[in-house]
Amino acid sequence: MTQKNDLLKELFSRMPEEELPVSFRDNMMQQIMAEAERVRKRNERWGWIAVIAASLLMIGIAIASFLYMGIPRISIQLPDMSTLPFYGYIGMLTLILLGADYKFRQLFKKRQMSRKEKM
Amino acid sequence: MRPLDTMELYTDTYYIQRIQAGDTACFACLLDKYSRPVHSLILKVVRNREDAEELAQDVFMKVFQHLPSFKGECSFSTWIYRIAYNTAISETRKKKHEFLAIEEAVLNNVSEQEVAESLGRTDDSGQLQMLDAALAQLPPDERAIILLFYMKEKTIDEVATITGLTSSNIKVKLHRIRKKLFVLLKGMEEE
Repeated sequence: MTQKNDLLKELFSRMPEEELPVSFRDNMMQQIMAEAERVRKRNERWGWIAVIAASLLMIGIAIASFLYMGIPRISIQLPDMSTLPFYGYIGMLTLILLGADYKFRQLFKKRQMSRKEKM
Repeated sequence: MRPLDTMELYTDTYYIQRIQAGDTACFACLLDKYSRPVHSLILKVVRNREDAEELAQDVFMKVFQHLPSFKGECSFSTWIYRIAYNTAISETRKKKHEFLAIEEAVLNNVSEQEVAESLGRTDDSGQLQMLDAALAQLPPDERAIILLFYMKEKTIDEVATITGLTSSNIKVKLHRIRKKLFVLLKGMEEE
């Protein structure tokens, strides 16, 4: 099939292309940006999961090699564990206080920002 | 990022590399270049303005999502038309349509010369209206093939890549679709 002196080619070349709505480009770019952000967050989440999994695996191997395989060959005198619940309780309390402090600071900053915006 | 008017001088590959490197805003340049022809093809295949706009959005979202899998085995324009063709054809398959069946004897009975002569008696806008009406009577896949070949000026090999058919199959199909269009155009002219 040759396109030379082709009746249909001549007819189709005169066929106008349909106009797109003016908002199409902006709407599409908004969707694309949202999709890119979603992909970025998903990749970040998987990155964190990989780091945590690798860290846990390394810690696990280290514990296993130390406790069960005796590598390295050293002996450690374990301290008296009777006070462990007390220290655990203090540790938990510290963590809770730290978390509460973080949340209160966030709340404080948010309120300050909203006040500035109102002014 | 450079201003938009200077960026349009770059090739599709350049934009794709920039997008893959994280410069999502570069997708706007590909949109500027392809949104109108892709929308136009989809609209002519599905023949519904609202559906066409929605499908064009789907196509560009698919293009963005699958951009990392584009290996450059065909041109970017062929790749984007393949996505547009598959999306539009899938949509038309959801809706049942009946299309005109033309007998083989009738197809072979009309020559291009006859059609050209009878079309010569109609003005330009009338000819385009007749062509549009004739296209509307073709099944969507045939409509897409003829539009890709003539309107988008794709080669037979490119049309084969877009549709997933063989080049020889496309040649046969194009021959038959042309004949069908001639029969339809001649019929309209006689009316």
